[in-house]
Amino acid sequence: MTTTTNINIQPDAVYALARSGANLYAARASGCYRSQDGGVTWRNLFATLDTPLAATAVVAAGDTVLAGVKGAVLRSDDAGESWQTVGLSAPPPLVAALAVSPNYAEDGIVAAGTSDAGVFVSTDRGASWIPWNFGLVDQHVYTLAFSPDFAADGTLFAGTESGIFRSHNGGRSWREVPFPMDAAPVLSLSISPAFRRDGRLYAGTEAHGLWLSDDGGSTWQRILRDRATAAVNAIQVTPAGVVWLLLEDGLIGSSDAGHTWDRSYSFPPDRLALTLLAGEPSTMLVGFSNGDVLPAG
Amino acid sequence: MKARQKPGVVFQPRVHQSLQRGIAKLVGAIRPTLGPISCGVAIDPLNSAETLPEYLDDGGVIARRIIELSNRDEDMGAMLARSMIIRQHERLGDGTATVAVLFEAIFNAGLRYIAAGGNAVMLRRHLECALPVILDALDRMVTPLAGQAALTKMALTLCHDEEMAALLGEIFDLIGEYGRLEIREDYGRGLRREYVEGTYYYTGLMSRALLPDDAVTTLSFDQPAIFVCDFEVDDHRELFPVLQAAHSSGVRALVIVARNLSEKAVSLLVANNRMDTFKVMAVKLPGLNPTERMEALEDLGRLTGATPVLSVTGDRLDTVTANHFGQARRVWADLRTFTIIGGQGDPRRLREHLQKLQAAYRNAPDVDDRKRVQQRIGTLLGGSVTLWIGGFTEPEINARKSRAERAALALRSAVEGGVVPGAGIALLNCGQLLKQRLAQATDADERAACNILIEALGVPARTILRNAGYDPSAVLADVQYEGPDAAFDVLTDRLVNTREAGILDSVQVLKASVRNAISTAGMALTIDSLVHLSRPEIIGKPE
Repeated sequence: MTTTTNINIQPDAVYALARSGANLYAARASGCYRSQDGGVTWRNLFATLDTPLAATAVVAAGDTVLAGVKGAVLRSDDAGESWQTVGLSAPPPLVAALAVSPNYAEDGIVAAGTSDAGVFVSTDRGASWIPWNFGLVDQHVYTLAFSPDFAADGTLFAGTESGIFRSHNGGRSWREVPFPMDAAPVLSLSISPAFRRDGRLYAGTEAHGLWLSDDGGSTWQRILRDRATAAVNAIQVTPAGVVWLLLEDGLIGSSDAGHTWDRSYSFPPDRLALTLLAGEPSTMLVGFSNGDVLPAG
Repeated sequence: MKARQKPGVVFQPRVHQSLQRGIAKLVGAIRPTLGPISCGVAIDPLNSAETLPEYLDDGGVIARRIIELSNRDEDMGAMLARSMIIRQHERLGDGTATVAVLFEAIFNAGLRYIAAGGNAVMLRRHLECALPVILDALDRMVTPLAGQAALTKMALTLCHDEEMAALLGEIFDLIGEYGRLEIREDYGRGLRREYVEGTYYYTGLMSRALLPDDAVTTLSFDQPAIFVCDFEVDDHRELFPVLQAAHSSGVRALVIVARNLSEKAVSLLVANNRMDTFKVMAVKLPGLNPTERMEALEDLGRLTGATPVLSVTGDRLDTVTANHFGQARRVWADLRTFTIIGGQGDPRRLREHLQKLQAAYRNAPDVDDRKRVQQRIGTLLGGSVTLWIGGFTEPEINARKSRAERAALALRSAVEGGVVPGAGIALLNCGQLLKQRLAQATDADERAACNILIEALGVPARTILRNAGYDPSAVLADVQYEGPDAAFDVLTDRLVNTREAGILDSVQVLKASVRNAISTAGMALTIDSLVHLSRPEIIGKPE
């Protein structure tokens, strides 16, 4: 990767990035930031709050922005200008992941994965949250992924400390996916845009590389053997079928479902890449451990 | 004074004739209950204070009520059938009428073959050899049962109650095959369900004294340490090391799970709670017997990460350290229950433990073991549902509750094993594979066994149609013309696709029905003499 722009924001880790229209959002240890100029300048949207909060996850849809913090999800209906705090059940869990339903405009469903209290689901655009953890025996959730066909199949996956769980009813109950427990934790999940047809699901692990399922999670094969121990922090599958993997030290791409990796970009060694914002290569952004947000392609 | 029956031995042909009559009487009482348009059975109450006969529409309960027939020879036939039906009822909650008519059909046809000179033992052997063919044919038809809509449709065919079916569909969509469902009587008039988050046990606080005041009924701790043991603590000083370990490790709340604490030990905890250090609650170890208690200790250990301290293995409380403690996000308890939310045990070990329990569930030798293991799994899955059954009168509530329990049992087996076309069609379709076997068979007994089973497997479908007032032959000809997934819906009076209409049967129920019917009929056919022992005559025998 050629580093083009070092965006000057506070030196703290970027945990998540989100985009809605022209607005970019970054969840960082020092708050939730917004950029309206493609990531050149950033403003801390939590600066107006009474107490400083670390944002650990962020998603956006239209002018609605949801930011995960310890014990709550902060919700804004005006692109982050003002916030409403919606508490999760005590004791306060840390929100590790937020995911928005592909049909958010109609169903208003958002899911929050927490580091020790499982999954909370909101069906009213983040105004209230209910813990739905039936069958989720591992409540250390690192990542969530909605099926692209969620309106029809109600499917949601959760990557956890010990593997992967699947819900077929919008997160109300969960079943184990036969993912090898030794390969967990699962840090990232991504579902093929043609999931209904190809049943393809990618799982990135902390120390056992990338795994692929072609049958909706029933069987798994390990791919990316030459980078076997790299932590896969994020995965993105583009509508064209290109798979992008964010490793701690680089970004690699595959045009053949992960069998060969023909695109590769490396990052400066003084920082770890933590999060990837979906988009085409020219518009992808990567968040780093030192607070940088850089274009990927 | 009770007269004593004379002992005696009965030989053929009276044996087969008597068994047949006894079986016919029992099955005849159950046959009208098969299908969605079925009739009930009125049972004369034994208690003279009850004036109304008991109305029943469940084959299993009817079989239970028929305790004895007056004719001793017939009684043996009836009791053979009764035992088989009750076994089916206890294990699966459904399929009792199916197994009854299937059994009778095989037995009667077998008797005809034996009367014509066939060999009973060889016939039995060939009947049992044909069983895997039928089970294989059923396996080929299986589809999974998933999704709330499909579950609701299936529930409706089981309980014939739309409100109940809607709730059962929703509940089983959540809890799956292992989840914890309790069905209880309610004071209200309708049905309602209640979802409970977390793992809860039916044992509560050791003493009311642990509650801070009379107005409070529940004690709740956030992020407590959890100490699990099987001790009955008489001397309050035995608890000092536990409290010391908690204090020195800086925990803010401690939950002690023990078999029992003396009043002095409870007083020690109450005194500790008055101080501004850390709070303690003590709850009783779940389990009614040593086995259940050991299982609860193991489960609690896996769930919370605690290391159980066991008196039975020689552990002592004075060796307890903070390393023995587990953790949870929250624990709350009242005098009857306690609940653990978000146990912080190693998720891998918990999942491995659950996998072992699931294997034990599949291999459990009897109904009670199976049920106990299923409850353990359901408890550890971290949530439960209570279905409250209300009604206008107590008999109505009881009948509805019984129906809900049966439907839940059958629905659970359907979720676990999958479903096949209902209305007797799956069994009818099994005849095709048997016809192939028949075409290859050269042995007369084998051919007879195939013919008997082909005919018998059509009896449940015929009975359902006959109970609904249809001519089975005409209707089944139309059904078979339409294809293997077609059935005649007697409620809507038209041919339907079974999967679209939700007319489905649990494959486990059907397999058990076929297995029980063939096994019991085979045994009955090889009975050649009856021996009556001397026993007291029971007064007031139902005929």
